[in-house]
Amino acid sequence: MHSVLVIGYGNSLRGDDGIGIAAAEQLRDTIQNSRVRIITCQQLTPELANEMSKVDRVIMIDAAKEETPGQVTVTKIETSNDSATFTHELQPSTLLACSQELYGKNPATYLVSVTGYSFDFSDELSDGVTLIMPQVLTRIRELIDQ
Amino acid sequence: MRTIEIKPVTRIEGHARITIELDEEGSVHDAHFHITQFRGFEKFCEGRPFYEMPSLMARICGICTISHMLASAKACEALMAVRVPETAIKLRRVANLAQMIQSHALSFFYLAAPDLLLGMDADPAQRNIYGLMKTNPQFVRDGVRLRQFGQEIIELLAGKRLHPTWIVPGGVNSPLTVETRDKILASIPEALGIIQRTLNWYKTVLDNYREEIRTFATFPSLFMGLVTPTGELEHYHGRLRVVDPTGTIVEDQIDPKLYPSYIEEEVLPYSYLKAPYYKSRGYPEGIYRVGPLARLNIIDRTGTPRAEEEWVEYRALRRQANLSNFHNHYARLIEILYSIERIEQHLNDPEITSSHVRAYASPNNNEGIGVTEAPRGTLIHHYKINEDGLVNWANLIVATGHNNLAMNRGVLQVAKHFVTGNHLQEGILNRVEAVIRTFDPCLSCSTHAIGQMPLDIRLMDAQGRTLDRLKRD
Repeated sequence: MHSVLVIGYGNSLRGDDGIGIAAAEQLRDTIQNSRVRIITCQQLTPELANEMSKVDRVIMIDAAKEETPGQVTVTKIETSNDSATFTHELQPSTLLACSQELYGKNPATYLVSVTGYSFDFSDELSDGVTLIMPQVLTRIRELIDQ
Repeated sequence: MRTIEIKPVTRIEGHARITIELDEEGSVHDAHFHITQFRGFEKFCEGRPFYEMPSLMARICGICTISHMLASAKACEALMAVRVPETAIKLRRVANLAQMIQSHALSFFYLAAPDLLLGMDADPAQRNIYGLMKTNPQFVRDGVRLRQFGQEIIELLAGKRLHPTWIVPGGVNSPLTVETRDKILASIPEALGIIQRTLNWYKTVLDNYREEIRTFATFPSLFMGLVTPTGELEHYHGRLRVVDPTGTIVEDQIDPKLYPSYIEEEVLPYSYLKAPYYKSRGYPEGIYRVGPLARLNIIDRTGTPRAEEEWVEYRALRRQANLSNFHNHYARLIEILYSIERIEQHLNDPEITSSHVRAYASPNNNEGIGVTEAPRGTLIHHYKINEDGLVNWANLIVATGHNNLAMNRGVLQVAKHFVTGNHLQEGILNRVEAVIRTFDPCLSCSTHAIGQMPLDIRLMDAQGRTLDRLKRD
């Protein structure tokens, strides 16, 4: 079986922005697969490129503000050469480019984005996002097993 | 009068604005470093139980989480009058040093190196860590690996790398296993190799930056930080030492809890960041600096063999205290080396895997002060509680605050040197910003202060409802 890295990221103090971290943590509690490594973090940073270079597949989970609240979207990420002035604003495509540039590895990378209902100050997910969490986890598991 | 604004300042932690004021002749008249964000931690911790403080204060910063937790836990332990087990102290030291490594690596490799390697006048679109990947990939891989090394140690000790709840008043909440210790020890040779390689390279290119060394916040000031009783480098306990620009000790072995007798804070009209100064010299003559440059200026020796060799060489650059803030970069590399060596020493201590890592007590004092050295400098947490153990007053002095006056003076100095008249180029502006970056300011940490500017603080519950609001126009 291929090796997989799951990266759940976002701000867990801003309501549904914490969906990535919450989903990754729920996955960690339920999945039993030594080939799957799970990382949670507030934002994407260059050192994650090293982690990415060690696996066959990467699944990132993040919140989105676009589209309809509750919508779950899976996007295949391609490398991007866009440079970023701020390390705080690293995008999945740039991170994948870092993996390619620094380590010569280009793992299949997917972004699971979930459009949130509320991004106000709160350490809890909205009812709407909580309701679709099983669907989000199913999509991630499908990507792991694909 | 014409005003030039640089907004926002890039590659620092947080957001800021610099204003350079020109006079009628187009010469630099004055310069200010504005902190325009406000967070209010001192205010909204009021009414919370004291034992919540380490976790709450950890949220001040995503980089120096461990430092805030440590200073906060130490302040809580002063409230409890509890004796923390020796093993817990050693484990906390390891975590603090690991954070030193990851933070210094971030500052040097990600934030400062683009200026150093690609040149101050390089295209801003390329002058960043991603530009460096194309020109110096091994250098970036080294930076990534060092930062990872520090983060992994924190994750292995504390369960997660960001905002862990492992440090608690009275100690830590889980001991170190033999397996984890051995795993960390196994990665030390690689980390030592990287930092030694980087130091060797840096020393060969140092001469290229003579102008920056001469002009990047190079002025006489006091320097402050913690030292051991024998004058060695200290990041966790220790006592405060102050030296003057000649390297002469002005104050030594100050009990950190007596800091209010030595430090006063001034509120600046143009910034949310307060400006501490050394009390006996008055404002603004009591300007002092903290952080890597200051720490290497105040000590008599480092206390580890390889860092000691490097420090001796570094000190040979100037017989007295090093006055150029540009040397913060060099100092960070030496502190990374020191931190790796110290971590190895602590992990080889047979007591490090002891299971006795926490003590318990109720509050026995109504006032507590905790002081540590964060990557950017001395960090002070000071709390007062009521009879129910609820915080009713808090004061935080963070490294960026200590350095506030020095940052302003540094901006003015570099602006006077590089900015003349109407012809401004990116390279010139970047040098003004770069001088700020040598301080590696963390604005998220430092803007907890209540200044004299209009502000609005809202206390909200988990549902996002406003519970209380403080507003001043």
